[in-house]
Amino acid sequence: MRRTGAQPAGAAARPTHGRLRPGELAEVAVLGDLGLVLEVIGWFIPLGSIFQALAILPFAVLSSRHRLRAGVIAVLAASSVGFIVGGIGIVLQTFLAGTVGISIGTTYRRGWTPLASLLATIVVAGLPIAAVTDLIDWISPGFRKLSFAQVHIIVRDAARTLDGLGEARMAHSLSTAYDWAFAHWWISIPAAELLAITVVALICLRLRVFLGMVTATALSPYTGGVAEREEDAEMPVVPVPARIEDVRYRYAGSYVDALVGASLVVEPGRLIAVVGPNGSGKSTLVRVLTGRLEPSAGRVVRAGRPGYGELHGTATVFQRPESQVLGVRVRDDLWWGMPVQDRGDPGPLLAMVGLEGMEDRESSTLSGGQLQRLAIAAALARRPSLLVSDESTAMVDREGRDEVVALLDRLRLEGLAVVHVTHRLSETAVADVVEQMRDGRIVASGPPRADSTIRGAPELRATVAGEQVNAEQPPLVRLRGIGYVYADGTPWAHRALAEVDLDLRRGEGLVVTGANGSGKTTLAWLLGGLMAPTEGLALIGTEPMRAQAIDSAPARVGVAFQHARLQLLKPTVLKDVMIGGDEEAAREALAAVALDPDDIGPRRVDDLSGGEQRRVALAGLLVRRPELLVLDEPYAGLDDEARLALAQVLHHLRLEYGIATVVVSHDLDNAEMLGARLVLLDAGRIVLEEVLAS
Amino acid sequence: MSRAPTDRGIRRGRQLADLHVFRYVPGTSFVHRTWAGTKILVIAILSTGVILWPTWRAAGLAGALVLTAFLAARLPGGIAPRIPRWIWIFFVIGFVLALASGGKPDASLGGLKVGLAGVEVWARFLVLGFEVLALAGLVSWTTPLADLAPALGRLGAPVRKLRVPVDEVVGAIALGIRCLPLLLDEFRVLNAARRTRRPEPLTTLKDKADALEDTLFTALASSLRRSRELAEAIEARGGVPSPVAETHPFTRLDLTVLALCTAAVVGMALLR
Repeated sequence: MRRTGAQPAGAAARPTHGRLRPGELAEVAVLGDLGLVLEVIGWFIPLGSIFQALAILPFAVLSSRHRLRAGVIAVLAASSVGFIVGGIGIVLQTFLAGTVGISIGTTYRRGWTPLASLLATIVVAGLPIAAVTDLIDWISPGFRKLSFAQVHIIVRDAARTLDGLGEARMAHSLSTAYDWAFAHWWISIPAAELLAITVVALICLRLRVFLGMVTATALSPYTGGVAEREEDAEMPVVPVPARIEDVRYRYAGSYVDALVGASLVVEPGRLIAVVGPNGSGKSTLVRVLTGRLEPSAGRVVRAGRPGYGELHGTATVFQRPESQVLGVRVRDDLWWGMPVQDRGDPGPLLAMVGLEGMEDRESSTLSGGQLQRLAIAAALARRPSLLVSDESTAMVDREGRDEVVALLDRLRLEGLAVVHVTHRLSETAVADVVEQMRDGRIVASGPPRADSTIRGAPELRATVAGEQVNAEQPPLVRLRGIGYVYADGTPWAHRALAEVDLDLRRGEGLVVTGANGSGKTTLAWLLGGLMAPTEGLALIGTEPMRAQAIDSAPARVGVAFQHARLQLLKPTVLKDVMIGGDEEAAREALAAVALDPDDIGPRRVDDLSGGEQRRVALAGLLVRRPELLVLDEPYAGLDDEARLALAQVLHHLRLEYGIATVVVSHDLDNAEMLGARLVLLDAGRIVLEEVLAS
Repeated sequence: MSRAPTDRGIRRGRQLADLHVFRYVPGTSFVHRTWAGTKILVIAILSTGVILWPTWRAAGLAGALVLTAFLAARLPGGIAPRIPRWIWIFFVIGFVLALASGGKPDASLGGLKVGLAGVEVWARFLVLGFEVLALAGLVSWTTPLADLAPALGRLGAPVRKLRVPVDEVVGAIALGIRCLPLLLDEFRVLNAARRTRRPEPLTTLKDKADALEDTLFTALASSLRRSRELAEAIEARGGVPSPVAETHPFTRLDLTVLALCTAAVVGMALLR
């Protein structure tokens, strides 16, 4: 896993002027979206003003981390998109939430007291909004009268009720007050708005606690690699051949070296595979190679600059397919960030990665494997001399993986220097050299080996195959002819599942597999009771699946999602697991997933590796004592050791607690460790079912 | 990566996923062929019109235009979002309040004299609001998402002279639009995950507020994590979004559409 928290020691200082840097632009886009979505939700649901007030938060977080420019651009961007969704109303709301957020965030960043922050917010956000509404009301008496008419209805109702109660004087003064407010609208409207903003701002000061929490996490802003020194700017871009000599590197705030004297030679026309478990220093090594980290000791010898992201320079493809595709359309993504004169013909590039004719497809409609190949095409668009694949195969299915590796092999033959970082030994067969890393060192270097089994895996596989399930007892889960159609009855309707029959008994381990888009995840959601099948019958015990997820406590089913972070709801581990039970139960659940409660309990969830987060999420489900656990792609992004550990945990849960486990995965490598029964889905139907022989 | 399914049918009322905002329905009608920037201008022109002159005549004019465009676009019936029950409840409450306030003109209802002025105002607000929403829906169903950022870039060109960083804003809009589906997916997973962790209903207000805070923090932490990955990807592509070039032509069709809408707004002003 990447060290998300630690900042590179030689990192560029926070920018103070000029264009948005990558770290700022990314947060502007993502947090601006978050604000926009909260606004739109608020627009469409009752009591939505809560969400509209919450929309202040993303802007406040953004401004507490970045300069004013970032906040302003985020507000402009979010309100532009908001205008198209819901017209001028959303624009005004977004502006309001944005200015309040920027004010709270900026004053927080500058260390102002809460009172000063409140006053600043009222001045900065309140006065302009009051002025703008006054202006609108002045231009349009019709609009003003209509708004007042709404208030009038309520006032008249209230006055009449008071009158009926015999409170004629009060009724009279209420009407008089209304008449005064109506006549002096240019005072009454802004006064009401200022009052509302003061109340909102008071509530929002609570957000400062939030800002503190966000600051305390390891999620510090991304400041990017080493700023190229000015004298270097004159140098030509020559990333390879490069020689890394005895390099050490330690992240700021860390007590151990991430690299402990690593050496590497990278030459054109050669494919180097760098393998090793998570945290062994692979990513740090390629960051040094690509010039994004300045080593604390040792040196890197090149004939010129690495030219990261430049024409003929260095290109990198990363792990998560959907986070590295930046264009709305395939064509936009291919040329993202490139001047028009450097662009070529998209045809051959897309053909090379097997995406011919897809220029105009929207990138959000591509599968994981397609996205990853698009990322490679975008990297190749810059005609790089050095291509680094930083675990780019970790999250795609087997077919996609084979395609990516074959592509890397072909590029090497065309004269590129290719460095492929992976934790799968099986992908190294095409490499010229395999560098094995462990604990920040290169421990072995040589030609690829054929053996790719995980130590301990065959034994576990045999144990799992030998698991006994009582066939006499009635099934825990019964699916009869279930199907699912998304967006049923709309033009976007599409079928994900059809006529699936499945039985599952207590303590049974089932693996559901299939290619991307075969309906696996839909099946997982149905099994978890997170949605109801559009046809057929899904039962757990004797009750319908769907009902149990909301009605019965404790929940009988737990679902673990691929993106484990979304499942962790408290900032620290033990507190998070304790959502579902008392401390004793929480500690037991942590122990059940092979984590030491004393060690990991007080840690922040954002400081954990992906594998650890996944196991904590599992503990959070276990503490509720479910009868069935559904895991969606639990292997994604895990190295061999973490996979073995996870498979062992699941075996233990089946054996000791009698929990049935369903693992949904496209990753058939070592899938047999996860359950004795295997189901293959294709186009929403079960096409193969098999039971492993012990 | 598989997309998170929607959670339809779990709880009545939670049908945000069913709104289908910004899902393109392919077609060849003049509405589809109109430049995205023109459609944005149409929203601006017509909504300004109904804000300035919120009369029944304005509602009629705007309604006629929106309805014509809807019919021409030949959108299938299934796109209409199912109206959740609470909206009807709100309608009823609003209607009763409006009716109770009375005011001239009066109508007699089975011997009971009822003032209709309140109802008239209420209905006018409702109709105008509905028309603006329908227009936004029409634009979102007939315009590919990818067309929006370039269109906004061309529309924003005049303010570039005022040293507003238009290209940067448009770059942020384009990236934001790209990330929107990812974010919505994440919201769905978050919602489902929250339910599997804590299915029992929370009773006290404090518990509810705490749970909401927890969820928000998770959403934020997850967004910031995604931002990091995004930032790395941006850096790997040189760090600066290329200026979005608008290639869609501005045709006579666009001119006609704009002229019609402007005429309608002039009509609203004259007929008020």
